[in-house]
Amino acid sequence: MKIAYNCLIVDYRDEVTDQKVSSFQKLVLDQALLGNVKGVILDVSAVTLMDSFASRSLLDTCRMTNLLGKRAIVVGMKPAVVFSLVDMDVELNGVETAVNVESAMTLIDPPADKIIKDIGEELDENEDSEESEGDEKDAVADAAQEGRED
Amino acid sequence: MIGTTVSELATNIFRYATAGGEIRIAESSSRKTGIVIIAKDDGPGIKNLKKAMKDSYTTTVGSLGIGLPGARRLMDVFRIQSGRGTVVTVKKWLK
Repeated sequence: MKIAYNCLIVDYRDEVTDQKVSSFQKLVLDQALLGNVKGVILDVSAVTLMDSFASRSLLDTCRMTNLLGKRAIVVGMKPAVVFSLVDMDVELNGVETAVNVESAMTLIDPPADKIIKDIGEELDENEDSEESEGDEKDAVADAAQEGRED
Repeated sequence: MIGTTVSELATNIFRYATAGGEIRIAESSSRKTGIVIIAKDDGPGIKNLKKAMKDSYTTTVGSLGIGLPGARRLMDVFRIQSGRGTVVTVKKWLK
């Protein structure tokens, strides 16, 4: 477990999937609450086998992290693990995933130049929507006037 | 897939079969090439097999209840017998 670029990076290993799960989860949550941590990255690239118990513990850890108000992203799922989870029909709705640790870091703590680009795009979108909102307001006002004339 | 299935079956033996049990993994002896997994225990048995094979049914708190139905989906052949003790036989063909 280490903190880098405001992300708590947790290495999930096969050994975590036993009775030590709850103490491990507590450890993760305690670390996640440290001041500069914006999100938790759960790296499962070393996990070769995931059964329903392991997937449940991973899902729970994500939900707990979200309840703390922090983002949780699972990274590095192996194809064999993905096959098993989907074939078994494990409910993983709401679990955010990324290809690797680097892309998860960018999602949790975007570099400054990306923020500037996104804000720029957002402003452009807002301008467009404001215009259309204005039109709607005019339409409502017109309708109100017509009503009064009647 | 094989690992996950073995893990699900072993979890069940650990949880429910207090008397213990065993899991055997072997090459399939029939005309098709594949792997056979037999999980056998002398536990109390499963009262309602139909329910046990349904998703989300479990008698354990905090369990997803998809072990057996999940294992059935992962494998090509799935057979379960339960009375006094339970025997689960699954097969996966080499594709």
